[in-house]
Amino acid sequence: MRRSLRPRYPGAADAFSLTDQRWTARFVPSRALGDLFGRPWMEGAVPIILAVILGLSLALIAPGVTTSYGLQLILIQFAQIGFLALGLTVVMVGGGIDLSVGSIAGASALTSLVLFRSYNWSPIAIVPAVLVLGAVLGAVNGLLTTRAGIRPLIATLVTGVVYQALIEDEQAHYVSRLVSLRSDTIWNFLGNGKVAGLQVSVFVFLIVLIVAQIGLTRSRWGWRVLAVGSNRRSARRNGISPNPVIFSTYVLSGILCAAGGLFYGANQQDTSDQLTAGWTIIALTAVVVGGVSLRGGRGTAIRAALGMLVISLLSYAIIVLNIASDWQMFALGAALLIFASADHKWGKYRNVLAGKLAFSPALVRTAPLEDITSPDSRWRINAILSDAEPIGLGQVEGGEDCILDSQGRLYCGDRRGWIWRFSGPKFEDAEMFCRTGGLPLGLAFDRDGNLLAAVVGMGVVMISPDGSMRPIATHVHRRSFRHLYDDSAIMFPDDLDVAPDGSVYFSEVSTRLMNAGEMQTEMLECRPNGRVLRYDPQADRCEVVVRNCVLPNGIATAHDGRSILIASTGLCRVDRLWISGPEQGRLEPVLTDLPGHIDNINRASDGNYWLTFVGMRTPMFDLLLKYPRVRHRMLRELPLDDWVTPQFNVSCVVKFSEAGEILSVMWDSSLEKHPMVTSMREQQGYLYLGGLQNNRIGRVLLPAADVGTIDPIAVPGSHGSFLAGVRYVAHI
Amino acid sequence: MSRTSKSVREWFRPGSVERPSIPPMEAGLRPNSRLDDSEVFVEFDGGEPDDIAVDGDGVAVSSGQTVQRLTATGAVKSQLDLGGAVTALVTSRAGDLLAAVEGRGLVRVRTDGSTDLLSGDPCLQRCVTAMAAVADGTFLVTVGSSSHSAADWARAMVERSSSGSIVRVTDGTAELLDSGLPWPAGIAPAGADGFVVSLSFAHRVERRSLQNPRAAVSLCENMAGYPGRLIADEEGGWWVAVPYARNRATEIVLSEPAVATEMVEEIRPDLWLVPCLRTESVYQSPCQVGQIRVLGEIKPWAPARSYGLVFRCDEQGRVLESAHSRADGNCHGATGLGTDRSGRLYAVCRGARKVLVLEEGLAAVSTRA
Repeated sequence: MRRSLRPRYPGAADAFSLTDQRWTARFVPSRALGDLFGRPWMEGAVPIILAVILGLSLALIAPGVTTSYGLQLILIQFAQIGFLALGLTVVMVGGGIDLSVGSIAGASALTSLVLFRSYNWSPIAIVPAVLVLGAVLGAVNGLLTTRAGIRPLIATLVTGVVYQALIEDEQAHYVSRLVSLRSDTIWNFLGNGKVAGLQVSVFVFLIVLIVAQIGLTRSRWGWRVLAVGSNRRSARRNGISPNPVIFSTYVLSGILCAAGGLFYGANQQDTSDQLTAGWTIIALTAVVVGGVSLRGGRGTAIRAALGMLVISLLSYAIIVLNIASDWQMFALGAALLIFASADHKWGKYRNVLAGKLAFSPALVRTAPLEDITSPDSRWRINAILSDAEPIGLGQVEGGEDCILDSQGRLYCGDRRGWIWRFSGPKFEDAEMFCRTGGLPLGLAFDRDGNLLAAVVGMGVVMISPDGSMRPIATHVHRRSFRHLYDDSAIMFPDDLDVAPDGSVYFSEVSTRLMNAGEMQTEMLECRPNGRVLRYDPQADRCEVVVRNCVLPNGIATAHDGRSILIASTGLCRVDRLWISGPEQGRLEPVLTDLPGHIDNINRASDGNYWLTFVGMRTPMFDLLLKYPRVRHRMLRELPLDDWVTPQFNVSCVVKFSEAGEILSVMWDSSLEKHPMVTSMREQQGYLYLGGLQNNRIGRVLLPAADVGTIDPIAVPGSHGSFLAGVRYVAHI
Repeated sequence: MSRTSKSVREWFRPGSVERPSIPPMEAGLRPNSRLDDSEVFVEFDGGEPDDIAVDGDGVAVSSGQTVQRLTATGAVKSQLDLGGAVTALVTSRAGDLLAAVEGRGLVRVRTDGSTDLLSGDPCLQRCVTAMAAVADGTFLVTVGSSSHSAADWARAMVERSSSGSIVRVTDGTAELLDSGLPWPAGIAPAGADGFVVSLSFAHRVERRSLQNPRAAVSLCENMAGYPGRLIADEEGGWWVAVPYARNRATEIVLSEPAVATEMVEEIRPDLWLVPCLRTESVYQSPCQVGQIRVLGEIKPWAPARSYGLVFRCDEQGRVLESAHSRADGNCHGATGLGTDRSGRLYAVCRGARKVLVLEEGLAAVSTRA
């Protein structure tokens, strides 16, 4: 294990207090429920909960459940028919159904007794013989469904009837020779012996159960069965040949049924031809009660066993309470219907419900909004950006961020997943530098001249000067267990910057966004779903440094390299996180209550900072932020195009000082060329403008008085490393 | 009724619950850019043209407190200040111009420029929205609201005002025909003894008779916009100006009384989330996702904050043709309509401060087809 030489980061700072909400707002019950419903293991939840309730209530009303006699009765049935339930589960998960399980078990039970009593076979030989018989009977089912192409429901219904007829024939043939009372130690052990305090049948069943559970959920064969059962066609397209898999499930089912019949024969010594009548319906009910789907592809052995336990309790209760045995069938049928319909609805609507609950807008109280259009406002509108000369006009589609390398070449992202490189005196030579495969947002250069890009859908990637790409931060080191939602993957990184020690700090807008199209949902929800992360290149891993941020966006390392500035798009503020020194890990405000929603932050050459607003606050959106329920209605009832947002059609670039003082403001009053500026980058006396929704990169000449001598793109504290030999020329 | 009980009722009987929805603009209302492509008759630098009337002396347009007479080329011939906001114009059968003046009442303007007060009835001194001259020489007047001024359309809508009325003026005497209406905004004669009236907040145009003016037959219902002034066309139908288009987000705000109240109390009226005639300053005005400029373009089908629409319907209320200016256009907020003797159709786009001349070629094509 590689170890970082530097001390570990002292835990993540919590930015929740910045939201100005009460601590109760940390808990979002509806969303927690949505997270719960969204977990894959919840697919069997409703049947299992119903089964547990049914089981507990039966245990309460039926006397003597906990006595050893009662337990034994319940467990013996649990184990014997449980084998059938397991077999049925395997077949059903594979997308089929086996209605001949009862007949196969009956045939096995009778055959074992015939072999034992009429032919005096040793139990050592009987066990494999009967299991082979079960496999053969199951194989017939398998061949009929796979080779002959008969629907499993019909095929197994028919074979069930045929096997039952064979049992009756066999019984009639051997009835006179079955009366001999032969005793055998092994045979008695199989029927009534105990291992570890349990009936042999129960003990063996539990072992088989564990094996079946692991086999079905963890083995290659189990995954294939699951794949074929979920969707036969797509399984075939993924290289699984369905017929052998299906055939194997029927054979396995036959073997398991034979095992159940064998234990029944040894235990009951019953030679009636109706000995296993009704077992099929019991096994089927048990499986459905346990939440194994009749539609295939969903279900585990444990669930089937749980359902079997409930059904055994039900049978026991009916016997103990002296209810006519007709009612047992009725109760089984009723349970089957109720559970099957509940499972159907749940399977169909679980994800829809989870999706509906997952979104829960937060109450946000904003500070009063100043009138930025007033002539005496410090945000006074001007036309400085309207004169920006276009770069890559008509070529670029949505370059969120832009950056220049030491040779003065311009890089920017594109919504098609590309990173452009423009060179030449007027940036007229365009080339595709890299295809990322995600949506590239923030860009930065590390000290070695590699381009780092925050790519939505992928994480942070490193692109070497030759254009080859390598993902460096895709997962956090350890997922947070504060919620059920798995936030380990980095889905929506937005901006990034490099600290003097080489670590990369980057923001993730939200851990709940899956793609860039959901950005507006996050804006309307305005909940602290985001975080700021740090990639440690030495340990090659990622950790969270600030959690509970509301749409964290721009990240810039401070000029002295001891802190980073973090912009919150949702809360319209900039905070400083100390990354070294005695205050490491502490957050402190720099700018608050700005009149716009902030996007990127970058260093300026004169020791100050640039920030840009992605859109301006509007009194109407501020008002809606106070009414989460209305925003929720808006999301549920209106199409995306009608959602109310901040004013994204205007924005401005702002220069502010280390102390948080607004120094200058630049607008595009034409409202057409740079309506939404999402990033700015100063280099050689020019300011370059990126826009997430724009068709160009803009360039404006800065007044000479505002240009200093610092290289804003170089990593702070690393002057002369990657820019070695390139003299930084301030604009004159 | 609460939304929950509504949902429960809907579960049992889906037909019993009405969910208000804005119909799409389709068939005769299929969007085009006819308003943007139309010939500009006159463009106002200052002031906003509102209503238009054509009398013996040519075209007269109301703007603010003035009535301006225009030459055939659109130049201002004369300008007359009436001492109060002019909220509606109409030409009488005798050829005189009649103006509704806020604070005064109905004022007659003769071609020589002299004025006299026709009626100073208190109900006609405020919020007159439209007038029409009927065959017997009387005038029909719609009053938008008894508690708001004509400029307070948005406030009245948010406050769910329903106190408008229809008044008949005979030789200066006002007679109330119906009251308690949701902002009647336009009126025009229909047949020998009837009239049509548009009810802005109800998104409806109704046909009524003068004998029994309280009984209404709906002509156009649940429209995609808020209907305004209307004029009769030559074929027995009507031209309808629709100054505002409906917006789904606005409907949500209107159905949330707490939000609507706070909006009215706290926010400057031009920044409310309600339809408007034009956006003065975009910087802090409400925005919707569809309105965002993408790659330099604004989608024409973006949800409209301001919209331009006039349409013509027949006697049954079927829309025969329409002229639009969509989200990417600028001829928004059509408030007034008028025809001159040669059959030219003028549309006043108050939002764009323009008077347009609409080509009628399309109409003949569409009716024949």
